[in-house]
Amino acid sequence: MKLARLARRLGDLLLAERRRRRARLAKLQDLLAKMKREQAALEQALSAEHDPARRAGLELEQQILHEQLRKGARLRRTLRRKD
Amino acid sequence: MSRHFALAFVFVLLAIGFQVSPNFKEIAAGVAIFLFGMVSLEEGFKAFTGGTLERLLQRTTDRLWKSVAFGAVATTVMQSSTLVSIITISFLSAGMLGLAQGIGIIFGANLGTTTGAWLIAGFGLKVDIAAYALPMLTFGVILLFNKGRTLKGLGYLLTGLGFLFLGIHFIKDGFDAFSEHINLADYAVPGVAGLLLFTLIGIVITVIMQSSHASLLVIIAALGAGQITYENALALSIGANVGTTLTALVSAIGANIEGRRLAAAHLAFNVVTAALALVFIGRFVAAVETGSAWLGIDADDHTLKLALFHTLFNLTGLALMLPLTGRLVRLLETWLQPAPRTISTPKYISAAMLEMPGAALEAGRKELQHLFANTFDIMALVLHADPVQLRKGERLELLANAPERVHAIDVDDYYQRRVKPLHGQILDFLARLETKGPQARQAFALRAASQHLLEALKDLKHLQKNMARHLASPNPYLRKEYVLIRQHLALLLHELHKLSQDPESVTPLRFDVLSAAAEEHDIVANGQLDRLIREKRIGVETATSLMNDSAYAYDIASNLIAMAKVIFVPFEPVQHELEHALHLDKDEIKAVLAAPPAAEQAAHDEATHETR
Repeated sequence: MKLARLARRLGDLLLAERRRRRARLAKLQDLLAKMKREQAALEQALSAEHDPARRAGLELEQQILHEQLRKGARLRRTLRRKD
Repeated sequence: MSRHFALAFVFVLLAIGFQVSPNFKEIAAGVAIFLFGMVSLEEGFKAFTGGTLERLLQRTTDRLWKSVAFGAVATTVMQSSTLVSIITISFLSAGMLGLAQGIGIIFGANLGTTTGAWLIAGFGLKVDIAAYALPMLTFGVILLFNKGRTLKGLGYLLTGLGFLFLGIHFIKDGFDAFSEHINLADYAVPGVAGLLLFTLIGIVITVIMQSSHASLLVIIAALGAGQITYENALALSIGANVGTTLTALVSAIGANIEGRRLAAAHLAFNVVTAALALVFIGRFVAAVETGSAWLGIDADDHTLKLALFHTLFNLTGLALMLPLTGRLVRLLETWLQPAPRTISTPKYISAAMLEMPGAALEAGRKELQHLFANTFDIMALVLHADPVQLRKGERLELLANAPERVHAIDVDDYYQRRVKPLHGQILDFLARLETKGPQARQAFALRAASQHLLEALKDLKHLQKNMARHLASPNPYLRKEYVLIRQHLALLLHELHKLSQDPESVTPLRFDVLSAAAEEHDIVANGQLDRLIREKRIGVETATSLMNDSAYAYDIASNLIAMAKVIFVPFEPVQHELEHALHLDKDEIKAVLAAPPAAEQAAHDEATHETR
C-alpha cells in the first residue's frame, strides 16, 4: 500500500501532465463544492419566497445550477477516469 | 545626445585603461561578467514570475512586518534588489499592493542586499568559486536549450550564478595582480574629506554599474587585495547604498504615481540611512568591532567587517524608518500628486509594468473595468437611465414604464472623449507586452473582451435611433416592446456593475442566468414577434425594425456577458477553463427555459411515480 502511494507521489512529481490533471481535478472539486453551497442557499431562499415572479426567477436559477452541476460531475468523471 | 557622449566617454576611458594595465582589463571583464550574470539571474527568476512569486507576494504582504520580511527574503534568494523593486512597482501600479506594503518590501530589500556583501566577503573571496562556476555554466547552457519554461528558467539561474562566480574570480585575480605593481591605498584620503569623497565615488560607481551588488563586489575585492583602506571602503559602501536608489529613480520615470512615490520612499530611506552612517561613523565602527568580536571575526578580516558594517547601518535605518512608514505614506501622498487626469486617462497601466507580464495583465484587466465604467455611463444615458441611480439600483421599478422625456445623445461624441483614447492605450499596452503560454491566452482574452465591449456600444448606438422614436410611440404594443428592451438592458447593466464590485459573487451561475434572460427577451425566438404581426398589433415595416432592434439587444447582452466573464475576476487559467466548461451553451439554456419549472417537474414526477 505504502509502495503504491510512493509510486503515485513519484509519478505526480515526475509527470507534469498528471500533476496538471490532479490540480485541475482539485480545482473542479472546489468549484463544485462552492456550487453545492450556492444550491443550498437557493433552496433556502426559494422556501422563504412567496412572490410568484421571484419564485419563478429562483426556480430558473435552480435549474441552471442543476444543469451546471451535472456538467461538472460529468467532467469530474472524465478527469478521474484519465487519472 | 548627452547619453551618447557619456557612453563614448566611458568607452574611451575603458580603452585607455585596457592599454595602460592588463590587470585593469581583467577587473573590468570581471565586472562585465558579473553584471551579465545578474541579468541572466534576473531572467531566470522572471521565468518563475507569473505564478508562484506573485501569489507569494499577495499572500505575504498583508502586514507591514510581513512585507519587510518578504523584501528581505526575496532579495536574499534572488540577490537582486532591482528585480524585487521592479516586481513591487508593477504590483503597486496594478493596484495589487498598497503603498505602505510596497515601502515595507523596499525597506526589506535593502536589508536583503546586505547578504550579498556577506556572501562575497565570506564565500566569494575565500573559496575558489571559479571551480563551481564552470560546471554551473555547462549545465546551465544545456538547460537553456530546453523549450520548457521551468527548465529554461533553471538554465538562466545556473548560467547566472556561473557568471557571477566567474566574475568574482576575475575581479579578485585582477586586484591581486594589480597590487603587485601599484598600491592604490597610497592615494587614500583620511578624515572627513576622505569619507565624503569616497561616498561620492561609491555613488558614481554604482550609478555607472547600475548595481550595488557589483559595486560592493569591487569594493570588497579591492579591500581584500589591500588596494583601498578600510575607512575608505566603509565610505564607498555608504555611497553604493545611495547610488542604487538613483537606478530605481530612473526606472520609476515610466511608472505611474504609485511607482514614483515608492521610488521616492526608497531614496528617502537610503539617503537617511547614509546620512546616519556618515554622521555616526565612529559609533558604527565601534559597534562593528564589538560585533566582530562577538561573531568571532578576525581583527584583520576587514572584508567581513565591511559586510557587518553594511548590515548594521541598513538595520539601523530600518529600525528608524519602519515606525515612520505611515507618516511617510501620508507625506508622499501629499507631496507627490498625480498629474491632472481626464476620464480617459489610464488608472492602472504604465510602461514600467511591461517587464512583469503577470502584474501587467492584471493591470490591463483592471483598466478594462475602468473602460467598462466609462462605457456604462454612456449606455445608461442611451437607455434613459441615470448612471448613478442605475449603479446603486435605485428606482429600478421606473424602468418598467416608458421614460417621461425621450431624447437621443451623441454617442459618437461620448465615444471619442470617454472610450476611444483609453481603449487605444489599453490595446497599445497589451500589444507591447511579451507573453507566452497561459499569459498569451489571457492577453488575447483581454483584447477580445475590449472588442466585445466596443461591439456592445456600437450596437447600442444603432439601437438608440429607433428606441428614442418608439419609446414615445402612440402604439402601446410597440412602445411596450421597446420598454422591455430598455428594461432588460438597463437591468443587465445594473447586475454587471454589481458583479464588478464584488468578485466573490461572480460564479458561472450568475452569467448563465443573465444569458437566460437574454434568450427570454429574444422576441423572434419566443414567438412574440409572430404574435404581434399575426394579431396585426404592429405594421410589417415596424416589425422589421423591431426584429433588428431585438437582435441588437441580444447581441449587446451577449457581448457584455462575454466581456464580464473575462474582466470581473482575476485570471487563473485552470479556473477559467473549468468555468468555461461548466457554462451552459445557447441550446442548453434554451432547453432549460423550455423545461417546466422545478416545482411542476417534481409534482409531475411524483404523480408519475404514484401512478406506477
